[in-house]
Amino acid sequence: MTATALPIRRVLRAYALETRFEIVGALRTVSFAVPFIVVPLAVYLLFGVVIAGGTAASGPYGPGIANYLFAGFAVMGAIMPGLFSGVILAQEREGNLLRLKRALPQPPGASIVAKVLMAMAIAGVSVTLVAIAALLAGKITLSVGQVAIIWAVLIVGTIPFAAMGLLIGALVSGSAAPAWGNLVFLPMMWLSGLFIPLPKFLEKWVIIWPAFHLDQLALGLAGVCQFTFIPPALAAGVLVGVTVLSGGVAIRRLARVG
Amino acid sequence: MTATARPDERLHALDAVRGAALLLGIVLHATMSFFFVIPARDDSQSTALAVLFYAIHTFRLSLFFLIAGFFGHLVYHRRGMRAFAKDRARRIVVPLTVGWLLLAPPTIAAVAWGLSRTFPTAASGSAQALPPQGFPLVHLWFLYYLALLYILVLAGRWVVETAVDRTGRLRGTMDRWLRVGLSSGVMPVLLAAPLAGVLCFDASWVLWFGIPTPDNGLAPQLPALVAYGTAFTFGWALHRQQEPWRVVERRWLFNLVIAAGLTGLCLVLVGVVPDLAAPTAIDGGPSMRALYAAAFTVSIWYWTLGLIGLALRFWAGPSPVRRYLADSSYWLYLVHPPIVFGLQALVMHLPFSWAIKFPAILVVTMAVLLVSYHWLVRSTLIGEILNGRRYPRKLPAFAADAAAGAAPGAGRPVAETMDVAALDRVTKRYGSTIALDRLSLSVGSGELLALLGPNGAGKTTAIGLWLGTLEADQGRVTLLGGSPLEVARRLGVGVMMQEVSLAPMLTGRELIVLTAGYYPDPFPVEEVIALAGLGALADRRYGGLSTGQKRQVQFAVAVCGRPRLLFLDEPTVGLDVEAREAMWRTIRTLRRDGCAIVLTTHYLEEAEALADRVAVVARGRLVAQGSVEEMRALVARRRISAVSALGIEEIRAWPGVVDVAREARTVHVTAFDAESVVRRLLQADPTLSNLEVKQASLAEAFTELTREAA
Repeated sequence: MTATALPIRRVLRAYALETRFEIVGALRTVSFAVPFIVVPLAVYLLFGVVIAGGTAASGPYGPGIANYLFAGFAVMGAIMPGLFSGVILAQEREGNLLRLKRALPQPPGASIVAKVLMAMAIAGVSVTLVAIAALLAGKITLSVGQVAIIWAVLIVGTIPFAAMGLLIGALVSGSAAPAWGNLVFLPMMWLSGLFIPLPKFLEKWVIIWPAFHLDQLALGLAGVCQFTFIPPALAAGVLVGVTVLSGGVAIRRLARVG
Repeated sequence: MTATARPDERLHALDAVRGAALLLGIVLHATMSFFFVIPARDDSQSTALAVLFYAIHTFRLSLFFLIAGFFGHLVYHRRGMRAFAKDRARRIVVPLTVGWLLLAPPTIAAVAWGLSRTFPTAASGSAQALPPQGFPLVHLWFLYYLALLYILVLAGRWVVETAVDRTGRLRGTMDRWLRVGLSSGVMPVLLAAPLAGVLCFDASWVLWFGIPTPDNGLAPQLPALVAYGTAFTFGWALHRQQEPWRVVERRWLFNLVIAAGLTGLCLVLVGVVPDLAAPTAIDGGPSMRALYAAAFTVSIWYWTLGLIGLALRFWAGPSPVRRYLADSSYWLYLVHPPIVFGLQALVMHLPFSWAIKFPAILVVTMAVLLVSYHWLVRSTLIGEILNGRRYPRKLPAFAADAAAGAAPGAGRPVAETMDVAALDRVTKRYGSTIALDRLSLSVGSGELLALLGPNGAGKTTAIGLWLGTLEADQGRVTLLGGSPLEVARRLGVGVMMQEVSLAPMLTGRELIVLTAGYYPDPFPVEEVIALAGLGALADRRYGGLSTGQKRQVQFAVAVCGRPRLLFLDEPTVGLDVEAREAMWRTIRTLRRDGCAIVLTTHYLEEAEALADRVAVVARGRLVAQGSVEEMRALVARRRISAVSALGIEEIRAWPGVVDVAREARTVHVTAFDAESVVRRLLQADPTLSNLEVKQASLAEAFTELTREAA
C-alpha cells in the first residue's frame, strides 16, 4: 500500500481553488466586501478631495499634502480587509470547518494563504479605486510610477494586517470578532496620523501603530521625501515583526484548537 | 505530545537541512550588492541585508559539511567502499569539473560586468584593491573541498582500522566522549576550539567575513580545511549515534537563542557592515580579537546544532514539497551565480529601494532555476548525476512502509492484514477524564464498520485520532499505512463530521469543486451530485439550505474525492426517509467498489442494515465486536410472542423469563431459555396460537452490552 502524492500542478490548483472560493465567498458577503471597497474611496473623496483639496495646498505642508492624504486613505483601504478577515476565520473555527479541512487532504496552510490572498485582492480593488480617484481629482504631484509603487507596497502591506486579523480570528468567538476588529482598527486609523493632524502629545506615539509604518514604507519607497519620517527599512522591520508575531501566534493557536 | 524523530524521520529532516543550507547560499549571494562591492555596488545599500549575510555566512557551510559527513558515512556503510567512491566521483567530481567549465565563465563575466558598472572610471585602481587571485574555483570550491575531505576521511579510516584501532576500542571511547560532550553542553566549545586557534593567529584574517572562502586557488587553505573538516568529521561520527540526536532535538531553542546572542556580540565587536578600509583590525587589540574569534567560532556550532534540532523537531515527517526543494537545491545552487550576479549588475542603478530589488532578484532567480530544474534536470541525465536517480516530474510520494514499517513495534505488515486504519492500544485523556483506555480497533479494506456506543463512550475521540485532529497520549494510530498527520495519507480519506458549517456563501457545486481539488483522482462533479442525490440543490447556496439538505451536501463533499476510507459521523440525522434510503444506497455502492467505511450512528437499524462488523465502545473501551449476527448472539435472550389467555404475572414467575408484557390478546415474553419457556407455554395453554420466536435485536444487544460495561 503506497500513498499517492498530488502532482505539483494539482497542489497549486488546490491553493488557487481555495483562494478563488475565498474571494467569491467574501464578495458575496455584502456586509464584508462592500464596506471595505466603498468606504476608503468615499472618505477619500469627501475628506481628501472635497474638503481638504481646496484649502490644504495653501497650508504649512504646501501642495504635497495631497500626496500624503492619498497615501493615508489608500492605507485605510489596504488595512480593512486583512484586519477583518479574522471575522470569517472565527466563524469557520466555531463551525468546525477548519477541523474538517484539517481532516481532509487540504494542502498545508491553504486556508490561511487563501484568506491572506483574499484580503490582498479586496485591498487591491479598494486601493486601485482610491488611486484612480487621486490621479483624476486628488491634485497629487506624484508620478504614475510613484503611485504604482505605493499601490504595490500597500497590496503586499496587507499581509501584516491579515496576520493581525488571523490572530483575532484565532482567539475570539465569531460574534466577538467584529467588535475586536473595530477595537483595533478605529484607534489605529485615527491615531496613526494618516489624515488628521494629531495633538502634539499624540504625535510621538504614532510609531506604535502598524498603519503608520505601512504608510511610511509606501511613501519612503516611492521617494516622497517630504513625508518620510522614518527609514523604510525600519518600517518594513516593524511590519515583518507584526506579521511574524501575529501570524506565528495565530498559526500556533489554530494548530492546537483548529 | 513530543516524540523524538525516528531514524527514517531523521533522514527527512537532515535532507531538508542540506537543501536549506544550499538554498540559503542563493539568498546570501543575492544580498551582496546591497552592502559590498562584489559583484556590484547597488545604489541602495542596506544594513539589514549585511546583517542577514553575516548570520547566514556564519553557519551555512559548516551546517552543510556536517550533513555531508553524516550522509557520507550512511552511504559508505550501505554500499561499501567501492560503490561509495564511484557514487561520490559521479555526484561530486563530475559536477565540479563539468560545472566549472560551463559555469565559471558566465559567473566571472557577470562579476566583471558588475564591477565595471561599479567602478566605471577606475577599473585598474579597483583591480589593485582586490587580493591576488589564483585559480578561480568560483562557488564550486565547496565540491573541491568535499572531494578532498572524502579522500582524507577514507585514508584516515584505513589507517585507524589497520594500524591504530584494530579492535574498535578507541572509536568506542570517542563515541562515548561525543555523547558526553553533547549532553553536557560543551560540544560547541570543543568543536570551535581548532578553528578559533587557527583564525586567532592568522594575521590576514578578514574578520567580518568569518571563515575565509577558499575560492581562489587549488592549494588547500588551512582555515577552511579545519572548519569544514571538523564539521564533516563530526557529521561522519554522528551517524553512528542515537542518543546525541535526542539531545540536539531537545535543545534546539536553547542553542538558537545562544547562537543569536553570540552573533549579536560579534556584530557589536566587528561592526554591522564590513570595514573595507581596515578589514583585519578590531578595536581593543589582541584580547578583543581573541574574544571575537571565540564568540564567532562557538556561534557557528550553536547555529548548526540549533538548526538541526529545529529540523528534527518540525521537519521530521515526509513532505513532498520539502523533498522536491531538497532534491532541486543542488542544481539551484550550482547554477545560480551567473543569474544572481547578472541581475544585481542589471538593477544596481535603478531608482528603487533594496527592499524591492532584493526580493525581486530572488523571485526571478528562483523562478528561472525551478523551471529549469523541473524541465531540464529532474527526470534527465543531469538529475541522475546530481541526485543519484531520475525522478518523475511530480511531487515525491512516500511509501507506506517507509513511513510506518520502520517504527519499532510497528506491528504486522499492512499487506498481511489489509487494515486501512487501526488504533493500537490507544489511550487519550482530557485532563483527568480518560476518553479512550488502551483501545484497539481496526477497519479492513472494503469493510463497513459501525462504531456504536452511548454518548461520551469515546467514538468521536477515536475518529478524531484517525483523522489526525487529535493526538494520542499513548499507543499507535495508523491511517492508510502511515500517520494520520501526513497529508499524503489523508489523500485517500473522505469525512462527514457530525457538526460542521460549510462556507455559507458557496453553492453545493462550488463546495464539491473546492474539496475535489484536494484529491488526486476525484469523481466528476456531476457524478458526485448524482451520488448524493443533490439535483437542483447543488446550485443553491449552502447557507440557505435546510438541515437535511445541508447533510446531503456534506455527504457529497465527503465522497467527492473517491475515498478509500470514508468516515461518516451520524450521516442521516435530519434526513427524511427518502433521502436516508438514497444515502444508504450510495454507501452500499461505495463499499461494493472497495471503499472502507467507518460509521457512527445512534440509529441501530442503520447499523443493522449496513454494517459488516459492529464495534461497541463504552467508557473508552471496546466492549464487543463482530458481525451483527454475532452481536445478537452475544445476548442470549430472545423474544417470544403468542396469542394466549395466560396471565402475565404467572409467566413472569417462570424460570428463564426476563420480562413479560401484554398487548391486547398477545403476550410478549423476553427470555434467556426460549425453548423451555415455549414448551411450558404450550403445556399451560392448549389454545395458544400465532407463536413467534425472534432473536434479540441489535438494539437490545447494544443496551445490554453497554449496561454491563457501565
